[in-house]
Amino acid sequence: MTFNRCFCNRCMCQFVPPEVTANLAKAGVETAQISARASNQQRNRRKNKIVNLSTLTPSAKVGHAMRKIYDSQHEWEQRVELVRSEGDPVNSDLVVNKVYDYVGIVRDFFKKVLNRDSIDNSGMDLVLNVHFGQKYLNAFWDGDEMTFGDGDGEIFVGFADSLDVVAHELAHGVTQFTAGLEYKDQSGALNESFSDVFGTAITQFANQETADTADWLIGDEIMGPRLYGEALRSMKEPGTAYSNSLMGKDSQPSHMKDYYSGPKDNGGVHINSGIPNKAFYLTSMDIGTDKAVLIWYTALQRLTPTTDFNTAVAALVDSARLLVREGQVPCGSPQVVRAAFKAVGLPTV
Amino acid sequence: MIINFSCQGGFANLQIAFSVDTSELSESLSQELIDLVERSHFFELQLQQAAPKFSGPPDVFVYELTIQDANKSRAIACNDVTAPPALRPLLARLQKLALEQSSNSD
Ligand SMILES: [Zn+2]
Repeated sequence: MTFNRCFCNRCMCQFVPPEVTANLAKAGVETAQISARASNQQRNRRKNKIVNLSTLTPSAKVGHAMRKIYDSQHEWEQRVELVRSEGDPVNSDLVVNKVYDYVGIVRDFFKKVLNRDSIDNSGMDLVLNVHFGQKYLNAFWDGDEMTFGDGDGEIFVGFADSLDVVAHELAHGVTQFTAGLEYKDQSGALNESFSDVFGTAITQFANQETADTADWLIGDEIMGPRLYGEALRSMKEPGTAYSNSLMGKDSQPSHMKDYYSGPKDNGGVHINSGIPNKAFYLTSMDIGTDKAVLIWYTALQRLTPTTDFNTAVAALVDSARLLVREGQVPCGSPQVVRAAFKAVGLPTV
Repeated sequence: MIINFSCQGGFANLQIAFSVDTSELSESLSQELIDLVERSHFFELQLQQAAPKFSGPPDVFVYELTIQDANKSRAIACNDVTAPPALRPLLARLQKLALEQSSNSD
């Protein structure tokens, strides 16, 4: 195989073509963890491993986790009726088909781009419930499966109608099976941020957008007629997503100086997530969302349930260094990640 | 009947509340709420042993509901995973009232 030269002039590192990276994200991650202590010899072995794997794996596979879509039929219960399983023909219910397609995109992104085999990396079935309850204004991950309400048609419309939302919820499952970040305070804000990161990266991937062309909004597709044009979060400018009498004003900070330290929202998990969200945006604008998400995913596997912001920044920078060494992200990426967090006031001293 | 309701969290991170003395409401709304409370069997309801975990699961709404009626009073907390289905119609109606109230408040 051939390696392309890295874009930068500062070093002689190598850049693995994306079609290879696609097959190798997992191998890269596993070796990345070893490579912190790796000698040159190990590094050469790893290069060989990359070549061998790419020879053995003919093409990027799609994920094989089975999709199972249940219709709650407006009851407040999960798994009321199984309406579409993997490979079933299209259903007469457009919401069922949409969520089936969206979760397929998410599954395939994790497989192709990050080489993760479903939520648990072991091909776990993807169970989704739609039409949950009556005019239910929410979507959630309960530890095993995803559940989506239809909204009330005024404030919010169907939560399953948004790839952002589907990817965000599935990503909560991925976080549960990797870092297991506790859903409160800084670890909870990181948990939320990782879900927004995957939500937006997958949406950009599916829409063939780049960091410059994406809107960086979360939840804009689910705003109903009374909130039309608003969004729930902006990763580009946290704190500007909405301002209206129904929801009040977007209170996300974009810098540690405005950090929320009150008790609401489990210690501000959907609030302080604005800070790492903005750092992801800044990183993506510099090296591209596809490279940034690889760094974030690598770091996620190195975090623990009580990781705080400072520890996460260190893990992200370390992951960037490992991926540079792997040739999977451009040289200079660790500095880009550091600068992005410096711009939002992290790490704190 | 005095009802104190709050709902926070969710994907949209709503922070809403609704407090009312049903005797101060219109006849129809008052009756509607009294009926919903009755049909939920609020005062007899068996809650899951597991109280809502403070730290999750992700994106669920956390509901707090206190109702005083005659000489009965009960306060409960639950979330989207632990909420008994029988309580759901009451929670949904109170959530709507809380949202209407916040949209009229300025
Ligand atoms: Zn979330």
